[in-house]
Amino acid sequence: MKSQKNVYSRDVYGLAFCMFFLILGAAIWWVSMTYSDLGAVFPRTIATLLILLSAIYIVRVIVWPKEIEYDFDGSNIRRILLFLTLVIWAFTLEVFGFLTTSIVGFILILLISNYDKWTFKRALGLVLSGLSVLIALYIVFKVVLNVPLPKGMFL
Amino acid sequence: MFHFQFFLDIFTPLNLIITLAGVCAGIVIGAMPGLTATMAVAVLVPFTFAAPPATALIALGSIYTGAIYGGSYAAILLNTPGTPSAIATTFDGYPMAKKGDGDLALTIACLSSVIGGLVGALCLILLAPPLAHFALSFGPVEYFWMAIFGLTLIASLSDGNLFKAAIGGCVGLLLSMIGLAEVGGDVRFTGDSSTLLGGLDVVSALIGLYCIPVIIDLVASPTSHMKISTRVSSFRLKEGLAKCWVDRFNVLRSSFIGTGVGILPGAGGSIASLVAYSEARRSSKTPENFGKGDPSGVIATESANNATVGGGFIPTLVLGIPGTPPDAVILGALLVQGIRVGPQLFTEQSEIVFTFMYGLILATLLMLPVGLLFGRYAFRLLIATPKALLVPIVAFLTVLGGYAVNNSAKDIVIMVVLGGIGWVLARFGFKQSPIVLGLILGVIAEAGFVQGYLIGKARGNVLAEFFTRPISMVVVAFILLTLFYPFIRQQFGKLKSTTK
Amino acid sequence: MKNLTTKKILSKTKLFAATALVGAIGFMSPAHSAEFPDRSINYIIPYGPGGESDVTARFQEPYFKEFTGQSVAIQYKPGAGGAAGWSQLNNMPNDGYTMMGVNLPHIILQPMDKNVGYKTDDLQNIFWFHYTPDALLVPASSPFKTLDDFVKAAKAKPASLTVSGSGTKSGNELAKARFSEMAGIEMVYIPFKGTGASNVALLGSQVDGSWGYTTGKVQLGDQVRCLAVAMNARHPAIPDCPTFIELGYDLVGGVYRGLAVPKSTPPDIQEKLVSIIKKINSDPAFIKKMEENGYSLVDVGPAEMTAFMTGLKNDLKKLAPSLGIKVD
Repeated sequence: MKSQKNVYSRDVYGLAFCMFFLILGAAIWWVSMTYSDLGAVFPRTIATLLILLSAIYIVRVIVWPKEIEYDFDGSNIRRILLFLTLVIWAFTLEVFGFLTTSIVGFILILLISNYDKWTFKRALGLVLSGLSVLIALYIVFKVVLNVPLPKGMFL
Repeated sequence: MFHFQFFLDIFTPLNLIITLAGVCAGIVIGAMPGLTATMAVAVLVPFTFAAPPATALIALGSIYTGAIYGGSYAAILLNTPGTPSAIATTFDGYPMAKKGDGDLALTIACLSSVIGGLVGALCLILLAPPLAHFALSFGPVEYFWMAIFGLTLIASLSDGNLFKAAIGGCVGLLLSMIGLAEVGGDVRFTGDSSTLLGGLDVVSALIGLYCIPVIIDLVASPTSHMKISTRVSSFRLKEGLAKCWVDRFNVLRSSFIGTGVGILPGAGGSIASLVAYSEARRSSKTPENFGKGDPSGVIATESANNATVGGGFIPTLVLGIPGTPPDAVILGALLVQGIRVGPQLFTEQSEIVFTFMYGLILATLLMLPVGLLFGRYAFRLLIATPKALLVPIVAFLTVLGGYAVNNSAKDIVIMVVLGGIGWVLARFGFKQSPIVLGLILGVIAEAGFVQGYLIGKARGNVLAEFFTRPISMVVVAFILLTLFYPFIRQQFGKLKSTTK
Repeated sequence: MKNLTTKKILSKTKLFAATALVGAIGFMSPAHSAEFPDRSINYIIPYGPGGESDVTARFQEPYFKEFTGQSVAIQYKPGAGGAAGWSQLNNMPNDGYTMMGVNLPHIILQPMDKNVGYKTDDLQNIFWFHYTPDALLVPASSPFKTLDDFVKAAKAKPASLTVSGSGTKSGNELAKARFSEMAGIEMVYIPFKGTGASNVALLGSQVDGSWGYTTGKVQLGDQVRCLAVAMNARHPAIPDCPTFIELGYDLVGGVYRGLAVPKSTPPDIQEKLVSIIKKINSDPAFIKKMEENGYSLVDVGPAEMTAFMTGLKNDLKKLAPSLGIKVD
């Protein structure tokens, strides 16, 4: 796999994040105005801390830059696909039912995680063994342990 | 005096089978990311009602102790804590696995858990009443300072970027404030929706911030994430034992720290292991190895978190106040069984409580063979499973576990979203541990602060309240020590070299 | 490194598939409209395990089984002091196999205070089966031997006595507000996260007293002293605790717990549930167990429900401002 280790002379990404945190801290201060006295103490203290730390780090990156290395290894497409699958899984869980969405999600993620060549035997083996684990756990939780896994439209 | 006659009671066939079954079930549940010790106990409680009280107690205790140990499996092999108490085990456990020492880490985790559990259980048997009363001297102010101590540990544990760790801690603290404040009643950071009214659940946040980035990275490459040494035949038991012996002070100290923290109601395995880890690092001759795969790190965290099992039962059984979340469940179960907890439990109903305590020792001892076996099986299973199967199964477990915590599908959405955010932050240097620790400690810190403030105001002197209580001052001393120790060490080092 | 050969996988899978098939057939069968109940009922507790709602539900469990032949499956749905569960009740299946624990004054005070995702009238309460009477407790080592001592000390130095309790704008804080008004004193209420934490503060003398319940006194035994209980007559489990009424204060009340179902549950099914719960509530063994632990049984069914709730709502509307709740 190509190694994408990027070396930066200054921590630009860190700087960007700290700017974000600066704004976040300020936003929290603003929102805390609507809270009661006692309820506002902690948010304000932490927000102040956040602003201070971010500001100091920003100054440090600009004035005393240190080399930093970021690791962007690996297939980002698969990462994004996996995340999207999880998001859709999470949102449709109650709609379509736990088991249904889990089976779909499982198979999708299986496809995303697979790097080897697809043979029918292999595919069958993976899908069947995976699904059996899935269904077994589902039964243990729903029937034996009485956890109310959502039914949704299907199951 | 210690009712040794009840010692023999644990050896009835029923109790033996139950203890063994409990330990096995506990380890399996604790090992799965997404399923926690509390859940294991809560879900299995109904099955214990049919059993006699002592047996029921032993069952729950075995499950609990097994689950706390089981959490180390996912922590070591997948860099994701199986239970919150295993967070600190990821610090050195996973690097060990990456280096090819995963099986050694598992063995050490087992040995440490057993020793820690024994220390906790022995303290329970020998010292429960006095220790419980000591726990009562911890008031809101003490809890506040303890939480601050925990937070300074985050800073001291950051190998690398102190600022990013501290910012991460702040993010965690802010996340802990989401929802309806228990003390004060303000609704904060919910964006006016009622979804977030209950705040972020620690367990689903934990799963989100740890497990999801892990599987996101697992899909990114076809190679195995761990280095696998060629000789998977042995347990590396001798090696593990040798390491534990060399490090025996660490083992004992961490076990006592775990017991001590477990005694404090509201503080659980996660905090105990963190404190023990920090102390182990501070006393180590090679602190720079911590975080890179030093077995001492695993020893410290695993002995501490299993010690909290016994430690947590102390306030539970003596005062009727749960020491850790699973203890709350067990307390409820006891009540239903008709067992009244309190000091009289040790005098009047001693048969039940002493049989249980000896049973806990038995369960802890059983964890050694069972744990080593399960550990090796888990290790081989993990190696043998192709990524194409491992990733979806772990994903399913996180969804299942994330749901089962509160029977809420909304938790899963939060979990996934946090997972995405966690991955992005981790990539750019803001690691998960400070965030999660901030989340856990934020609740304790704020509650302690507000309560301490109100009490201080009523007594007429807030500052005195926070700064003159003896136990608090000891904690503050530790805070200062932790913050400045590196500098002190440096200065003494310079002094030594200049005077030579 | 593949130890799992395809053959092994397939054979394991056959076993699992068979189990799965049986299981799937098992619960895909349609619900029959035979005698209610014909399967286990879901009893949802909107709190975590171990609390009063959980414990009393577990006390009821064996009687459910005895009277109906079916079991109850106790599940937890904690969050926001109960609001997480209550805001979702009406979205749950209305076939009578789902019921949820409800608490007073929570379901009246919470929506009054802020947007919690439900309104009091959204909840279909079918029965209130017990309450935990408020009790003012002090540590056993406290200088206050009687309620009078406490009140005197509070009057001597206003806002100097601290009392712990569970939650903010909750049953405990309400009790403190009511008594403060009646006695004309000022106490400082220190909210804790749950009765357990409140008890820790009490036992450790971190606070001067605690607004808890009779169940707390029973649980903590001789480690605490009960100054008074908010009941009409002394509780049989703790006969040494005087009532507020005896001591001259008209304070009766506590946290009521009961059951609610999704609003669209058919009325005849609701009736059946009510009769089951009522039967449990009259069972002598059940009564004994509840009272031993400090609970006090009540029987507020559908007939008495409207009057009961309206009366309470009006009382709480008057008391709400003292808790900081704005009433419109």
